[in-house]
Amino acid sequence: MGRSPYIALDNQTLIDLVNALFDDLDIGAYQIAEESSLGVVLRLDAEDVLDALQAFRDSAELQFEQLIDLFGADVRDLVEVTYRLRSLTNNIDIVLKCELPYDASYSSVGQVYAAAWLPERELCEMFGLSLLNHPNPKRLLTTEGLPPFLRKSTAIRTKEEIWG
Amino acid sequence: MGLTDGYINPGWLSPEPPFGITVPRNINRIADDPLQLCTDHYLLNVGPQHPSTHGALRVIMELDGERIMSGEAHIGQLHRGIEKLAEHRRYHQLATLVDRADYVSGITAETAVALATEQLADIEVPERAQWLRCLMAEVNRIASHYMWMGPMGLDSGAMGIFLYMQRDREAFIDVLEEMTGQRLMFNYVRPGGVRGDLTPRAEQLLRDYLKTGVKRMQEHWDSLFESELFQVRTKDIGVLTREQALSYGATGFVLRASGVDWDLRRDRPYDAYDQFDFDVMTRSNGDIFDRMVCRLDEVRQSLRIIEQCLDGMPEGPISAKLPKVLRVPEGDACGIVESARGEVGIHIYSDGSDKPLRMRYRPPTLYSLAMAESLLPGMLLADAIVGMGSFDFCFGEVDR
Amino acid sequence: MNAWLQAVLWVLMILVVMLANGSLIIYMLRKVLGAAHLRIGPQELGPAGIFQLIPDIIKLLTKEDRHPNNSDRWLYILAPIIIFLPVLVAFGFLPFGYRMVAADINMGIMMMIAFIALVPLGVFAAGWASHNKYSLIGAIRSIAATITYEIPLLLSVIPVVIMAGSLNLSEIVLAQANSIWFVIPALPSAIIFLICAQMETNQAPFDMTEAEGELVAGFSTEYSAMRFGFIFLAEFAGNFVLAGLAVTLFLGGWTLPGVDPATMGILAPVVFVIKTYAVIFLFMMVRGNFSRFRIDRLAQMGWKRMIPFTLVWTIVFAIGYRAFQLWQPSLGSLLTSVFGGGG
Repeated sequence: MGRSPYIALDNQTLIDLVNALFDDLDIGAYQIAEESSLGVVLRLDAEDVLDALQAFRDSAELQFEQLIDLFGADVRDLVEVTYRLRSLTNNIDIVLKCELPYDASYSSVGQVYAAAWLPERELCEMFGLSLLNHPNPKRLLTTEGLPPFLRKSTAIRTKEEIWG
Repeated sequence: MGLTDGYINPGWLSPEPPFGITVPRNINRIADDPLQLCTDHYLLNVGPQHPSTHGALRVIMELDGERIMSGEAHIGQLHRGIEKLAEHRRYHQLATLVDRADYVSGITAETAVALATEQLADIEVPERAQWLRCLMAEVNRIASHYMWMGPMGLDSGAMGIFLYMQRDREAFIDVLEEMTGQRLMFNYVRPGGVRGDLTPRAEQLLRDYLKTGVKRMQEHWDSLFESELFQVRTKDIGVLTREQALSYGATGFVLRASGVDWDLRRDRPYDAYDQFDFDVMTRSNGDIFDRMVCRLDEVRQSLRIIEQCLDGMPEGPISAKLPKVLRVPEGDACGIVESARGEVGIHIYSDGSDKPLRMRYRPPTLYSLAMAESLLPGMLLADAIVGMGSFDFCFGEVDR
Repeated sequence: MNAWLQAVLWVLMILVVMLANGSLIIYMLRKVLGAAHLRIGPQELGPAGIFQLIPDIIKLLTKEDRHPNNSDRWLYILAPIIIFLPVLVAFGFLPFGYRMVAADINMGIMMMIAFIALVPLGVFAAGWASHNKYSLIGAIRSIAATITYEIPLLLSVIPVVIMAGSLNLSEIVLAQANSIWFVIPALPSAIIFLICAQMETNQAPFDMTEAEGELVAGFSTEYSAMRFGFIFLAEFAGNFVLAGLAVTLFLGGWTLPGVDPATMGILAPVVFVIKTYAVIFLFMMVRGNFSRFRIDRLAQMGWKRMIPFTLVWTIVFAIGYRAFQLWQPSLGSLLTSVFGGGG
């Protein structure tokens, strides 16, 4: 009985549209594929992310109005940054992934999607990245001097380690 | 006029004006109008133990008289590293962690964890378990809405309504206690199904409430929403336009109050939500009043879903057969659900072991916090308290 | 009797009444607001919790009396007294019965309102001396609100004075005993008076100076122990004084309709107190159920609505009353001819 007023785009159409969009843009190497549990996943270089997001937001066919989530993960000895975009009109999500080495600098995308201002600060403090082009590049959740918590190298200390 | 025109740098903020933090030009600026009052600005620290910040929020406001020039939220007082702890828990144990993230509506976050795990491990959930999840999520949603609406009355000075809302919330908390044994930290939804079946007493409690529920909601409407004093305090204040809401990643009731017709339960149906008949309630103004009315309407729709759940609950097992230690294949998956506060998304990376490599909890109210921060400049102090309350921050969730 | 001894006795009596009233209002507040809020209120100590006040007082007396750093020490100490004393003095003008009034002076109304108007001064002193920004905001709000409600309060009294032909509260009561309660001819004035009294006593929906949701507790944030107790006592006493003034001006004071004032005797204070608590009950019901005003909305309401309205209404009332006085005989005969009369 779900009567969504939005007509969902199917994944293959989305991939074709993204390919067509990127033809006109100066985007480096990228891969786009449908992954079983995430839907369409686009992997690209970190320096192209801002252009890609801008294009996704402004494109008349795609209309990705919202940045739903922005976070990192410490996998394969790299920081994998994930952006999840949503188009309400087309009722579809796309996941953008880019990889950054440890201690790299991360450039803000907040001027494209204002939703990114706070999660970016969290991402950078949790993975030890340095935040660029951000109006308020302070730590969000923890105080100065603490290690980047979500890196695999930062271990949770057990009771024995703390109390001896 | 650009976004940063008229921005006054208070010195203690960053050198560059943050996006959205703009100050209307004509407020008490000497150069613009010599007849305007010219007073010194001062800093006011609101929180974290202020009665109306609903948890551990600290906002540093720069005030001119009672007019806010700029405000910056400082969060993290409740940071417990839930995302890090999740890397040391098995998949069955994740539910207890996310309960403590959003401690007011735990069922929805648990459902998100279960959905993500089930996508990864390709588990088929029995139909009755899906229906039970929907039922409990709606019960929890109503409890959460009442937990927010009452204190909103308190923020605006109407003390009575708080306890009336608590009375109604109590009915739903009783149901949750009967079904899960807990009043807040439920640990009820698990990968593959749910932990307990619908008990006759829980069904009786819900049916009893359904008889009086609509009448009680009329009571709330009459005593709080109809009151002109309350409307004056909330209408056309803290307005979040459609564009702002989209840009700031608003989900849930904030998005719907700003006029966007979007509900994950209808547009991305999970569990059994495609089998229920309910409406998505939207409002057009995006002010505080609309956010409140939007949620009161949602309570009515949730009652409809609960009634349909009770009437049409299918028979069958309540959980899939799973091994004691669940190992899921490598990969990552995302479970998104419509929580009481907006979209909760749990993104789980798996490396094939019995513990997740990384769990991301998407807190809807972290995104609301940025919206509230951007609305502060130009508001009055009294309005800011109500305005910040209207986004329903849950700091267990914002700080995780 | 020695005049000095008499004065001391009166002051002692007023203090006793004030303390008794304070304890009664606290209990009433807890029970009435509790009932309005689906709560029970105190119930452990004594039947229905009536002795709850005793540990409360012990708590107030034994708590640490702390001074915030950098506070204006003498003003901080003085402020609760500045709040407390004017209310105490205002008690002296309330007629509890025939000749049962401490200071039966001809300027009764004026003196009473003048003394009550001193309270915001103490509130401002408390907020200023506390060295706390929340308190300061509360104090500034209190001063801003004072100007808003004092003028309509004073204006709403004028019709009563016109009708009674006196500023003496005892004479106003007797004038009502001889004619009708002034609430009937001057109902709009009575309503304005009650609204302003609600503002004067800092009760919700006009509790912007305290506003526990915004300003924590406003001007009294930093006060503890008995200094806080004084502020509280003054608030409750102010409640009683304003309600008593409303009863005196509009609801016939200590008299009852159809009963000769001379025969009331010891019943008079009882009647007066019952009427006063009925008005306090009204205050409390309003307090328990409405949202708080915003200070600029309050100023708008005061300056744009209440002051013009009371001005116009006072003039209209004065003209109407004079016309009524002039044409009363012919009006009486007109009524007689219309309704037939008795002959």
